Amino acid sequence: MSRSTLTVRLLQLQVENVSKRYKGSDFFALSNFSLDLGHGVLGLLGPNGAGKSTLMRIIATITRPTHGTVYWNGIDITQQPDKIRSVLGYLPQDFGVYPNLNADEFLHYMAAIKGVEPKAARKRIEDLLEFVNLLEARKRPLGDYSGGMKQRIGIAQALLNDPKVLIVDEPTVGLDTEGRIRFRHLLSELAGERVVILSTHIVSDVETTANDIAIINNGQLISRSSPEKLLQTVEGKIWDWVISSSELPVVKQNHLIRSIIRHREGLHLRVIAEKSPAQEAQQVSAPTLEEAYLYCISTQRTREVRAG
Amino acid sequence: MNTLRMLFAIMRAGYLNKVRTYRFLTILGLTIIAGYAFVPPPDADYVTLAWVSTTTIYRGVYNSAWIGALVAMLTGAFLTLFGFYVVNDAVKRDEQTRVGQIIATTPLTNTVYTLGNTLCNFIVLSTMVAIIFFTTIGMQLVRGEDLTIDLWALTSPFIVLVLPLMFLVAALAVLFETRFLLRGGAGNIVYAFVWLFSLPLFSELIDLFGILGILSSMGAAGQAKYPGLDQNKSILGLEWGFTHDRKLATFTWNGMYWTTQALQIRLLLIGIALGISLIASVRFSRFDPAYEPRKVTESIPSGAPDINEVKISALVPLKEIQLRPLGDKELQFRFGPMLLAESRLMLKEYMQLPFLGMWGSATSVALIIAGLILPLDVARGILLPVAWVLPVLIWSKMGTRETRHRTDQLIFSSADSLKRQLPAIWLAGVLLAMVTGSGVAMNLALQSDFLGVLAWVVGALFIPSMALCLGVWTGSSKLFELLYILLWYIGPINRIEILDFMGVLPGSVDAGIWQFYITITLILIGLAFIGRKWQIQRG
Repeated sequence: MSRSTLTVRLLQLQVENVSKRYKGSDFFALSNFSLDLGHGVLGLLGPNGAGKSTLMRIIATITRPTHGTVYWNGIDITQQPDKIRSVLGYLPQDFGVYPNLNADEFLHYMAAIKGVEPKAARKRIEDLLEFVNLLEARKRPLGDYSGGMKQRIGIAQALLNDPKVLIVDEPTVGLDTEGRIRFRHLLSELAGERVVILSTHIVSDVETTANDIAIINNGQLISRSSPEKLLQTVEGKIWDWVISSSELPVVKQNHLIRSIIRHREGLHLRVIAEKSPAQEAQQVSAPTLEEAYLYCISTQRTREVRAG
Repeated sequence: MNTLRMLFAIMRAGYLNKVRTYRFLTILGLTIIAGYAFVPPPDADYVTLAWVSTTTIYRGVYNSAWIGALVAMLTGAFLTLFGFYVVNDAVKRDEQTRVGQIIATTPLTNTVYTLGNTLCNFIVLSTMVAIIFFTTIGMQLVRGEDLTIDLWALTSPFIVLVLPLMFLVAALAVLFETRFLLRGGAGNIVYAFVWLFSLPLFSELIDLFGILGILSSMGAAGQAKYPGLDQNKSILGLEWGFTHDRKLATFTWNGMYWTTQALQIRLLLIGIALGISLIASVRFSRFDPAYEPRKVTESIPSGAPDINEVKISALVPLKEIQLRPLGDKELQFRFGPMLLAESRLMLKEYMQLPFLGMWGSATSVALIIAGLILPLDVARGILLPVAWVLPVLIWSKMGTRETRHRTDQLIFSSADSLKRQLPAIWLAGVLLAMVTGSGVAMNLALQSDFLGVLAWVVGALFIPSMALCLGVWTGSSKLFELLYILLWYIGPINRIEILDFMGVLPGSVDAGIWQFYITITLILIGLAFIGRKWQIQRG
């Protein structure tokens, strides 16, 4: 069986009841977390410290879960991590490079580690350097690179081995607008025959690439749906509301405010609420994904407060 | 007042950051063991402080005065070396964590910064001294030869002898860290050499460790009781081989009367340390990246025009780049490129070292040629040790790079890095040893000294194995740099056969010392493998 037929048939990543507690802490970064994935782009959203990076590190076999397992095409990769590593591309949130190597040398080094045949590696690196727009800077030592340039090297190395599973943690941090758009295009293109997991707190990145969104908070999965379905949850719950400056403190305490813009006639608020917050408030017809996300997170918090 | 508060803040933060690590706990554990070992029981195989004649070993009764002075002298000698490596990362830490750049923008002056770090280092070292001191009290009770605790007799040698030395070490550590050429590995090596070669000299000249005064006082007390005691035949340090066939004779020594001159020297040391700390503040780069390699940022057009003035002639689509998929054949691991990549990484890093990179490699090449053409005894006895000490900074990075440069997540998430990358690192290290020592090896082969070649091979395998093992387990290059220099100095240079791991002494080669190092090499390789496996799987 050739590689391509294999991958078409088998592309399944299952996270089963995974919990993770870090050494010396009682805090569970993930608790009893389950997620099933096939090909396509999964956008992972969640506040800072929600457990996104922990989940990605576990799938990338960097960290082992305290409980639970992860299966790649039926193989338990917490026991046999090399089964996924050979088809994995991983861009960690926080990573380093060898400062004395230049982009070319570093990517060749990583290609050797990932087992990409030298001739194929040369062509691939050429393409990738062009893709991440570093052709001109390829001979400069990485120690001289700016944050955004380093991030692009990270993206390039993740794609070196034409991975079947691509895990990218906050990939667009430090990228300029063009780089960011280009990267989004790439993710959408790759998604056809790959499992792509994209973690971010920039909702617009997910909006344009993911066909599947998982929202995580406090180590738990609180929502999993398509972007369209997620948007439906806030349909009819977004309100335009003009108030005077003096009202703001009171309004702030009682409502979930998405944005405040100062105009001559007063403050224009965009408020997320189940019911109309005031008579003069107008319903907005086109909610954004960011609003749906905020709604989802805040309703969960409300539930917790009530339960607690 | 404000300055004092700043000093205190630097000291406190640095100290807490240091002592709240597992590494520091390990270091404290080791100091306790040292304190224990410094006071051997009567039936031990070794002595730490005694006078010997052909029939007798003379030493003082283990009372407070004797034990205090003994442990203080040894602590002073050992911690001036090892202590340096415990504390020489304060400035580096601020640089690596980028806290330094924030510090640099505050009103804090360089002098306060270096002085604060000197004090911080001093307190860290003093903590270690204090732990040894408490162990010492315990040791007096454990040995039980005299149960009267005389606190002054116990503490005064520590206060008078050890603490000023620690202050000096603390300041030297900061000085090394703030000098561009003495930072990191190069400084580690230089300090080891300074300690090995210049301290004995200073010890003779100004009684740096305070040892001479104490020894003569002790010797006089011993001679008063045993006229057969020769004051010149004293032993200090961990010394084996004297306890057989000699009987033990003890005498009582009641402690040291500190002369004004002795105290003046200690004060002088503190003054010198303060001076060093001030020198350290001069020309300290203050985390200015301009002193580091230049950061390249992409050009941002200056003088941006208003949005209304921007003329759009035509919309250009973003350039499309197609990434061609890779087939099975193109994704088959090969060891050759991996080895090449590791070797290149090793050399590249070395060549970037200021000064050392260029001259070190040029000397290495010269040594290969000289090793081949000079007479064998010179080539093997002198050139080989030099050829195999020059690349120490390359070997010492083995196994540490991934954690140091934070590429660990990238590499450990690649397939089979344990079976692919680790052997490549090791072999690259072995090849380096073989190439740098190749002149001598060819010389040996030409003289048909094949046993010599074998011992040489064992040396070439042993060095990188030791480096890799220590690198993987400690995550730092320091331990290898220190231990290797000590081993190299005591073994091949001072011609102690059992420590001749590179086969430079014909006697050790014939005696088959290399067999011993084959075993050790195998153990080191095994440990490196286990350590890396644990690194990859932990979490």
